[in-house]
Amino acid sequence: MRRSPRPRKRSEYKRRRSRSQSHDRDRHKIKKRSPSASSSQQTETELFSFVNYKRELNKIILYSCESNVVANNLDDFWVFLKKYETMLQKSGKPILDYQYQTQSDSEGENKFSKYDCINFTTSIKFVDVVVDDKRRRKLDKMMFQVFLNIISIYIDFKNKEKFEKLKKLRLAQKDLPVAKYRSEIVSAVQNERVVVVAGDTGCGKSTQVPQYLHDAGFQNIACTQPRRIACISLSKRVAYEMLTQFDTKVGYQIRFEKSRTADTKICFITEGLLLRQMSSENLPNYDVIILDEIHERHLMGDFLLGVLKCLIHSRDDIKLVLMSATINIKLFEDYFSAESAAVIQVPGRLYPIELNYKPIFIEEKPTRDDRLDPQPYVQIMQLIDNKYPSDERGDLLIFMSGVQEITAICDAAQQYAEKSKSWIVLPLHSGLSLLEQDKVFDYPPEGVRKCIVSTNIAETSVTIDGIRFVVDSGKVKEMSYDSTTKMQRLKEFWISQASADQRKGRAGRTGPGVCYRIYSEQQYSEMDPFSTPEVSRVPLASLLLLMSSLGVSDVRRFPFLDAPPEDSVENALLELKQHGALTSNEKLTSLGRALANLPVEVSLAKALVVGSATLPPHKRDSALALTAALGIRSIYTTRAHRDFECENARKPEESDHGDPITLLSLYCAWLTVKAEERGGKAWCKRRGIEEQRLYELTKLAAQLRSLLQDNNLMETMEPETMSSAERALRHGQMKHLKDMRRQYKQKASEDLKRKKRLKMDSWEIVDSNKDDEDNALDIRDIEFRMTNDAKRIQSLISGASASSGRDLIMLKVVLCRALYPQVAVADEFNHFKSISEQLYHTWSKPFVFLHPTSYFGKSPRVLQLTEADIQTEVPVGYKSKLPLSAKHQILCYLSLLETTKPYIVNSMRMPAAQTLMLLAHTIDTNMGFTRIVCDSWLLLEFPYPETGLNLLFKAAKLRQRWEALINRRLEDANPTKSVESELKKSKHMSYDELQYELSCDISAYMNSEVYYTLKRLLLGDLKVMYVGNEEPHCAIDPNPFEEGFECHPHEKKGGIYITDNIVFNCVVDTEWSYNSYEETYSVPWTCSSCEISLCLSPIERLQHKYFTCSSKVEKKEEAPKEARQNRPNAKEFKCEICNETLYMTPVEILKHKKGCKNTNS
Amino acid sequence: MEESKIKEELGDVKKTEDEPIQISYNFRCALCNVNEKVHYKGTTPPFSRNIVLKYPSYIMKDPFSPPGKGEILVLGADCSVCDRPVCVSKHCSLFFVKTFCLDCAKTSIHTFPIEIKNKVVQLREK
Ligand SMILES: [Zn+2]
Ligand SMILES: [Zn+2]
Repeated sequence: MRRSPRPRKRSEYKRRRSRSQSHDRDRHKIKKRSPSASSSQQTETELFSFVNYKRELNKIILYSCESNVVANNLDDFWVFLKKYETMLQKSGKPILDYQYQTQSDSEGENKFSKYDCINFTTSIKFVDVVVDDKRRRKLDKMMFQVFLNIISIYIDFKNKEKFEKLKKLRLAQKDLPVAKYRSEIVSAVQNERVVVVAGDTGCGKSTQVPQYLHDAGFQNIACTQPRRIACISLSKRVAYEMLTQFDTKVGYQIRFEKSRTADTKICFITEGLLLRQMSSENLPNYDVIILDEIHERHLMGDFLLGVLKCLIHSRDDIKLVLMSATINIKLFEDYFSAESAAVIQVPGRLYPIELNYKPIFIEEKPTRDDRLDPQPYVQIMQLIDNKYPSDERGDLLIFMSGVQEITAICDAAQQYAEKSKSWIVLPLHSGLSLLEQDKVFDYPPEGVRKCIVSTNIAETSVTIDGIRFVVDSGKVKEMSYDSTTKMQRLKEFWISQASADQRKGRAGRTGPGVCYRIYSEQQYSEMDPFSTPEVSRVPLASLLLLMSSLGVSDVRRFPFLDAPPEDSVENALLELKQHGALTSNEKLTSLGRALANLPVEVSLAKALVVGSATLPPHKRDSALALTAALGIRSIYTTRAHRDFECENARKPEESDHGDPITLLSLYCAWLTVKAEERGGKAWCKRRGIEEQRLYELTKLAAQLRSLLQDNNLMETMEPETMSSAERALRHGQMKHLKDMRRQYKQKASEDLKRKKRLKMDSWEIVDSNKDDEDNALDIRDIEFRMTNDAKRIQSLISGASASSGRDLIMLKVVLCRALYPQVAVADEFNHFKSISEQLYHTWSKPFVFLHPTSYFGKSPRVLQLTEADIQTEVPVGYKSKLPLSAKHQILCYLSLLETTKPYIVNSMRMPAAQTLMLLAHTIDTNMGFTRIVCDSWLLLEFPYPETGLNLLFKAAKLRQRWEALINRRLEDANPTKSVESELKKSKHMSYDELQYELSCDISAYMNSEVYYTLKRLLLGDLKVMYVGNEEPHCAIDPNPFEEGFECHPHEKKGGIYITDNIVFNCVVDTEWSYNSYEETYSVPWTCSSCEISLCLSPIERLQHKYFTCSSKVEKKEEAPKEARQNRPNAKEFKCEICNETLYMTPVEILKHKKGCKNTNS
Repeated sequence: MEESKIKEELGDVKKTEDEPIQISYNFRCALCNVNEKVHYKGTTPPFSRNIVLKYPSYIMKDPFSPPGKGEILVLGADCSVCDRPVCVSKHCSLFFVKTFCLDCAKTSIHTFPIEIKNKVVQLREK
């Protein structure tokens, strides 16, 4: 401070001087004014400005009882006022024009005053405000009157502005191609059942048709959209056009949110949601259902078409409007020919487009690794630069097949752009964040063109204005599905002609355009006319389940627009049966009904239902979080697996149990960050995680929870009561959060007003945005904290975490049960192979790889046996090349995906024998339970006598108890309200107790140590694996595996079923297993309970233990009481020996008879 | 004229109530066909008490700003000469103490002060 006294002095001086100047002026003004107002006028107008009274005037305006245009736009008003004063000064007119006040009363017909041309008057009461600055003239009523006149001029000006806005809007609407067809469309809908409106993007059908119908008197219009985003943006647009943007006349309804209220007349809704509305009894009372974008041929859209085709036959009060692009109209017309659909074609507003095939010579040399050559694309950019002057506007849109291709083109184009300085290169695909996607809508600087490199997302879903040039690679990457192996394939295909035309059309939306097709005209003519509908290339299980729950009795005969492939339907039905969603004769089970209600794929839905039945109440959040994590798109960014830093940062949360558990622990770690209010954005960024996905996960989990609660499959937890201090704290927090949200919204709307201009160096944009993002208010974080208070987050964390012990085992078993039979075994030669060559085999698809980004893809050794795991001292006589161990593991996986190779995606390790015995659909065994085949695929050999039997027996019992628990849960969810069932319920052992015991027993079982070998059976092995049905088999009676189960022979393998899943005595013995059986039989066995010593086969030993052992019989007297409630086939029985009347099942009766004989004899 | 008086009175009735009854009028400009539903016709719109109009007009709550802010949008008025409804666009009407449709403005041009005459002439030239 001391070192620089001079500058300070100087500034002080300056300030003083300026003050004295204004002082002089004020004094002068006052002096001049007082003697005669008219003589001073000239001087005064030069000096007077209302701006000097801004503070006082603002006070008056804001204190006025009601808000008004000026109060709402105060800053804008003062800008206007300044401009207005300047204008008056320039034209030499006084600001304080009292003339008007005095003369308007005394009728001056021909005297002109500007205020006579203004219809508005403003009635704000004048308030005498104390003026602090005494040197200045006080604001008086006369002056205020003049001020009010200026306000009136301002209001008039604003009114004209708004009126013009309205007029422009109406003009734009009238100008849309669809507007000419308004009356035709309305009368068609009024007179016909089904109307098809075909028009290309930009013809205005999506925004206008709902309005036309509303204006024509329809009261409840549903308009479906395939995409959620479109629902929101269309409802906003239509509300704006109907001048109802501030009420709910126009609303939307999507999976997680709705703005629909009782007042809503037009509702934009996703296809899936409308379908679910149809399944519930309370379908809103729609009078028109509009299906938009039906040409896209999504699964849901196609199905919805079929459902509505049926619906309009039973509901003649509903009109159906189908809207599509002008693609394959004939298909829809024919489909609704029985309903005699009216077709109205609206020609699009398309300018002429110059079409060029193969504009650049491309050498047809097959490159070594099929790498894409970006040069032709860059050359087209050059060609455009040379041919079209840079002052002629128009951007370039390049269609590529996938993200990799886009990156390759962007890199090359960016290099060219840096040299030529005439391009800004922008990628566009769904993997980008919304912020990044939005960049394609920003404006380039003068003389610079945008080059947007996009997937087919820009073909129909995203519309960018100002495109003049289109380059079409002719390729698309599409998912296809092999229903036999349940593997999805991401493959590159040639697009269809329809698609090529759609791409071309993008060049002619705002003016004449140019389209370059990289391929030849010959190639175009060889393309399919239309793209393959989704129904032919995606898994159908979810759809078929939904259909079944909607009451479609025979899904095979459903009137699809295009019938799905037969084997795809059959395999999906098989899958549903395996999951227990359908019975063997394809009726919906109660499990199936529960699954159909959950908007995730069938196996994940099953994980939820099984989880809610099996997991303890305080751990059910783990099943919810896990399911949601697997149900959303990958949480990882593209950087996540490339950047070493990211991988390292995620290390602490990685679980060696596999990807699903890793996901869960990452989520819990994020929640912890949230609980500590440490933001989360930076945390996610460091780990290569898209935070947006974690919010989605939280939302989905909450949604699933409420669905489960609605379906009585999960208890509604009473919210813990807060103490008054906590409540006060939360209240303050909410207030703060609401403030922040308001700030954010204000800023966002300001940003929206400013037109965004792209900077030349696109990398710079990225950087500046990064700073922006970090500093700006994080609206998602704010909203997250508004819906989840600290307690809620804490309970989420404790509920979702399952890092060890029984919780983890149970969660894994639950997920595995839901995903079964999606398991894989290691190839026997994996020991000798590198990490990337680790091979796995699934039941349906041998030779698949571990995905390189998955946990086991990076550390496959976790799955392999170590030296110490292998038992070297084998029982005498047992010979095998395979390792004998208790540590064999299998992988349970979410899906198979083929990109460059077939990969296992999202896998989790499980103990092999325990998992297979508990979950396999069919288990075949030899006489001695030493050789056990699971699902005719995996052979397990148990060389130690009785170990195989014990494990299988435990598994069978657990399976029954588990099944019963799940069934009880489902029954409790949909109680048949009879006195009998109520009585039954009260006598039951408490549900939580059963659940607790079962989870203890299952986790003990999963940890049991049993030595065995594991072998994958090939077709040749299977041929000699079974004894065949020639030998007759005696029934096992009584059956210790399942009392009362009627044993019946297996017609092909031989042997007999002893439970629904286990076929006994059908697997052939080898030398060692035969010897082992003989040995077991010949050595006397001593019962540990009754100490009797007999020569018994393994199964006879079980029979003794469970039925004839004397220790068992003594206990019998009390036993039936407990057992009888569970048995549906129980009946009254009067024992002739003991003369007691009992309530028992046939088996129990048999046992009782035996017992009675025993005790009596 | 009778009718509009009644409507005006209705408007006053609305003003006194907290929740005004939604009565809407159809407004269609006789010259340019702008066609909108308005909430009020008169000089004192009940939803914006600071603003008073000199001449009874067709008024809607401003559709572009949030409700309850007292902002209005005046669409037009009945011509003071021929009684046809006309919008506020300068191509359809002229305001000088009262609203004149442009047709009537031309025929009664002699009654206006010179500034307005010039304006009408200018518009006519277009
Ligand atoms: Zn007009
Ligand atoms: Zn007139």
